[in-house]
Amino acid sequence: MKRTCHYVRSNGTAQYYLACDENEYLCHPHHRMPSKASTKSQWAISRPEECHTYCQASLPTPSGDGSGGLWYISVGAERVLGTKGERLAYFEIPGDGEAVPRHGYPVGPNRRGTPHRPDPVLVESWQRSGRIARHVADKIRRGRI
Amino acid sequence: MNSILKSIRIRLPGEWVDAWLYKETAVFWSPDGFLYYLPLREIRAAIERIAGRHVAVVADYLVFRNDWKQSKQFSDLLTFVPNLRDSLLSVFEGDSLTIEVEGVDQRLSRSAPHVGYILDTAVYGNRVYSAGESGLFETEFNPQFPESENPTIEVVDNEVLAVIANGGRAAFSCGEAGLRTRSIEFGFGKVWWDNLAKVGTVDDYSIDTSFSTLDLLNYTGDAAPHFLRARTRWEDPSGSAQYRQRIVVDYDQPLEMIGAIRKALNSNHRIAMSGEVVTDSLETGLKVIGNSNYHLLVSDNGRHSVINISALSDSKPARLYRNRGFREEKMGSGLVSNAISTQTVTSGFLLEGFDSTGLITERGTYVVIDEPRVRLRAFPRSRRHHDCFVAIGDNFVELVGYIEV
Repeated sequence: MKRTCHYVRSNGTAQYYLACDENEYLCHPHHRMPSKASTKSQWAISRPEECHTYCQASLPTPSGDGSGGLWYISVGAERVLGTKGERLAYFEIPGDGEAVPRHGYPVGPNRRGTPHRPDPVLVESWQRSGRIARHVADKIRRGRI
Repeated sequence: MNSILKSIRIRLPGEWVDAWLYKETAVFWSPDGFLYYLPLREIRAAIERIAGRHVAVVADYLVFRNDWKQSKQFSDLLTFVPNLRDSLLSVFEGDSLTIEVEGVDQRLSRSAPHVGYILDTAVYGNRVYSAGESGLFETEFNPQFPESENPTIEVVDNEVLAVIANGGRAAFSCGEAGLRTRSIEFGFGKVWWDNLAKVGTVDDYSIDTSFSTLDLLNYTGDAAPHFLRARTRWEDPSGSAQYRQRIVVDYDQPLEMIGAIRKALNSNHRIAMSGEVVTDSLETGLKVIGNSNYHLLVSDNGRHSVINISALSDSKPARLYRNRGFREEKMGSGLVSNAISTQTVTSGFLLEGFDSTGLITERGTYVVIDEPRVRLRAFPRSRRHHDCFVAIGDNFVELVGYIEV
């Protein structure tokens, strides 16, 4: 996939990018604020890289799980995305007519208040396609990563 | 002088999702939920055939008979007769010995299969629990009568992330549905699945649970688990049980531990667990990584310690105190900080990492397996296998034993 995503504009601490799928993507400031770390997971990668993880979740085939959002995991889950070692990322996709831009955040092991976990069907598809090995798939399903 | 860990891996082929060592039998779950079994004596005979009697004897102490390994007699032999120790361990060319076992076939049991993906299992009192995305299931498997036909009964139909069993009770983590328990109906002389006990909820959220002797530690993803003290009574032997045993009757209300943990880290005294609530503990960098029975492995801004739970007397509150046996300088920081789960082994803590398996003892921290494994399983309440573990690989299962020298 050719990488075309790029920075477009800022609004205070929020930075907007044009993603590879030509949708606007918001690097939400709450996920880059240590003061919010107790309730919001924090990205450990740069904003351009954050946007491109969304692009990879969206293209060539959206890696959704029927919940309305998209999921990203790097090949082999090698890449650590969040400041607490998170290797998954979830991107909220607005519904039709909603004016909220796409944005996402790292997702870690199960804990109280975790809003999302990848659907087992999606995890199986990652394993079948060879994106992740069996041990990674099992750890995701057990909520360990 | 630094210790070295020698490990033996007995590798059996096959794609499995979980395995237990139970009453001289290895029990396996296939990906489609069926229960298989293999007498350990057959594995031991295969080792002797393939690798010789010397290796089989080493496997006895490290895997099949940890009660021998833990004995003072064995410890004295290794300590005071170094020639014998060196000769015994001469089978290890490096620090690890792998034996590829062939010519043994796991047998299919006649228990009905688990439905759906298995996330965890427990075996206790000839009861087999399998937990997964479709619920918690219970069946019976008696290694003395492995050909018996048994139904698999659904306990709950919500997702169950973890299950443990001891003290006549099963406890299982159901996420938003809480930590739930049920007493086990052994059904001696009766059909055991008739008149099953009701399921009760003892905490309102749970992603994992573990025993601290018979008390429960309930993990929620917060900085520290909740502590649930067990109320018990003694029960006389019946059925296959040979000894009087303590049975859990119920659990007290969950107690917060983090306040007492913080005090215990900085004290030489025993700190009573008062249930003090401390907010934002995760943001102070204090976290319980896991436990090994009543030992808590604690990380405090990258510094690691072990805190003991003492809850022996029913008349006194449970207390926490610093364990001086596990020294911070002996706990390798990377392995501990990156652990995604822990299990109980007699020597210390078994650590599951993203792509490795580690062991913390009072003498050091070791990488036992430097490759990823699908799952690990330890057997802390086993008389013979309390200091070894099973590791599930992509297309094999390993029985792993070790010894520090």
